[in-house]
Amino acid sequence: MRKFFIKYVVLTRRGIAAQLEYRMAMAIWILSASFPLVMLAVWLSLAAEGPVGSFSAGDFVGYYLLSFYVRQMTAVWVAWELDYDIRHGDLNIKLLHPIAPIHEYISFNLADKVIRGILFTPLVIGVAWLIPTIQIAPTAANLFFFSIALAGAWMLRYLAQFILGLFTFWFSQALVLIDIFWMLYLLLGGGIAPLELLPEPLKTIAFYLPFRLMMSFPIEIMMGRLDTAEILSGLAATMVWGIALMGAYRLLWARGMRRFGAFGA
Amino acid sequence: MPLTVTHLKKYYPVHQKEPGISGSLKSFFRREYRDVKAVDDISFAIDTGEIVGFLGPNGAGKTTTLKMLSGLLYPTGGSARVLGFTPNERKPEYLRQMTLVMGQKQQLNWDLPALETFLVNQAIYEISDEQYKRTLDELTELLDLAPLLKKQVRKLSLGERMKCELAAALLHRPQVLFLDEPTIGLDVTMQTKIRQFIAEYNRRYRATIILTSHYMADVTALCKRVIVIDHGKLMYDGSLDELAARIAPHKLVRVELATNVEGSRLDSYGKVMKIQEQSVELLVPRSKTSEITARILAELPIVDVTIQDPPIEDVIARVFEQAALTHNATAAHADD
Repeated sequence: MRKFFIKYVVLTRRGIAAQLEYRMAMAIWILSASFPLVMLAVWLSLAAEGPVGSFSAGDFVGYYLLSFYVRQMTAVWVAWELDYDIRHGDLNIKLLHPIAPIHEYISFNLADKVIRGILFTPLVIGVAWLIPTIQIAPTAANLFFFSIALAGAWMLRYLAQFILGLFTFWFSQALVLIDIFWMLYLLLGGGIAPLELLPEPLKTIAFYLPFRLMMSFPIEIMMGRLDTAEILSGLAATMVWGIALMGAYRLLWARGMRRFGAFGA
Repeated sequence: MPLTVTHLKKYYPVHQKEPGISGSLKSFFRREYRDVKAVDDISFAIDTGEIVGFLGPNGAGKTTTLKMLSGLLYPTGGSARVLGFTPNERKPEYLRQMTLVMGQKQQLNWDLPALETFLVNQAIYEISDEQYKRTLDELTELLDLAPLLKKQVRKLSLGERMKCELAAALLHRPQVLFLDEPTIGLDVTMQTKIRQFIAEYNRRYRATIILTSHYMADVTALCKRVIVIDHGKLMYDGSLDELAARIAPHKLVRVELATNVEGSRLDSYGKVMKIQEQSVELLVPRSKTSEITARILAELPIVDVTIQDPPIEDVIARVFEQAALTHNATAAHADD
């Protein structure tokens, strides 16, 4: 276990070193991360004449600031990596190592999270500080549950995207699946509108699907909109989905390896 | 035997498409697949410390075989055992004892110095600090790595990169090495260096090595034994010398004459390949070499005589030609 931990630390350290080489790319993420701010502007203009449902202007500011942060801290692109590595043969290199390739991919993502965490955590706290009308509930308990829910959101997004990426073993255009997934994530995860404002039956459907747990759930915690029982049931649901996705990953990986053509040199 | 391959097979379903739009449309609605037999029932065994050259034209199945042996590919049939493991189970204990170096694919991170990849490999392969230091020192000395280790990999030349790749692949001191075109694209000096290094590694650690290369010099310098495959089938397995003897049952006799001699007089000794002023090249049957050389020395005004094997490139080219002939013959037969 200790050895395994060391492997992660070393791999993550290399990931950070590699990503720091791409300063330009980092600047671009920050720009591309502004979608929640666009949505915020839209909802603020609607909320100017009075609250929308249970959301006042201050709620929207809190919601989209948190949405920005959650999406940054759960950003995943592993499907594209897998797609490239499977089709170009770069997966071969990882397969030769005596550690399951998923850990090398995860460590690279964790490295990114360390960098984004350092960049965006103070930024988000600073912005929340500067806007007095913002509606959030940063109690110690909420911060605690928020961190767990955030890690859970990352895990679900990561596993889901990894699984979708594995379909490249069977279809050369597996990435179209990601587009569908992304659309559902934005709509049913709370990217376009807070889930509470969705019309029925979408709202109920969203409640039972894992997309909520990937974005909206940690935000709801931090806005003080959930009681402890609701928080615990959300965390339990995250765990159940996580186990299910891990099972699916194991199955698809084993099948995919049989199928793998080890293309490229 | 630490490495045994029995009736190993790998077939790929390949989807067939005619060129053009109509072909694309047809294939959109109904895909046709055909099995390509990349490796078709080959068997061989290799002993500890042997270096075996794997020869064959492009697409013969060399790389596919190496990929199956290193656990990247599941065989369609047959089996492989290496160091007591079944490669496709990809047990970490197996992966820690072998390496596959692909001349055309790199494991070094392009944006970071090679040393960074070495450190990652130290952790992944669970190499102790002491062993890491010792191995790295040795590799640094053997490959002249000192000035390269801290440079960004993308700033290295192809040859420098290959040296670092080899070091990264050997840090864990694997017992079995699969080297797929390790010298591809390198200049002659660098090829020689890599070759010497492989020989030295083999000597020091009694490592078992399979090597593929397009450069015959690699093979003649390193491998006593060669395995020739073509169209996925094993064509030859044995010593390089014997291959030359069997395929090219001739020797090349180079004669420097003191005076000009008529071509017709030379014909009685062997097939005249070249006459240039007073230097002559004759192709003589291998079994009669000494007898004919004796006659030449006695009967002709000689300055110098040398006897050589024909260049191994020609020998290999002939193996492939013959392979192609038999292949076409069977194919033609199948069409009847």
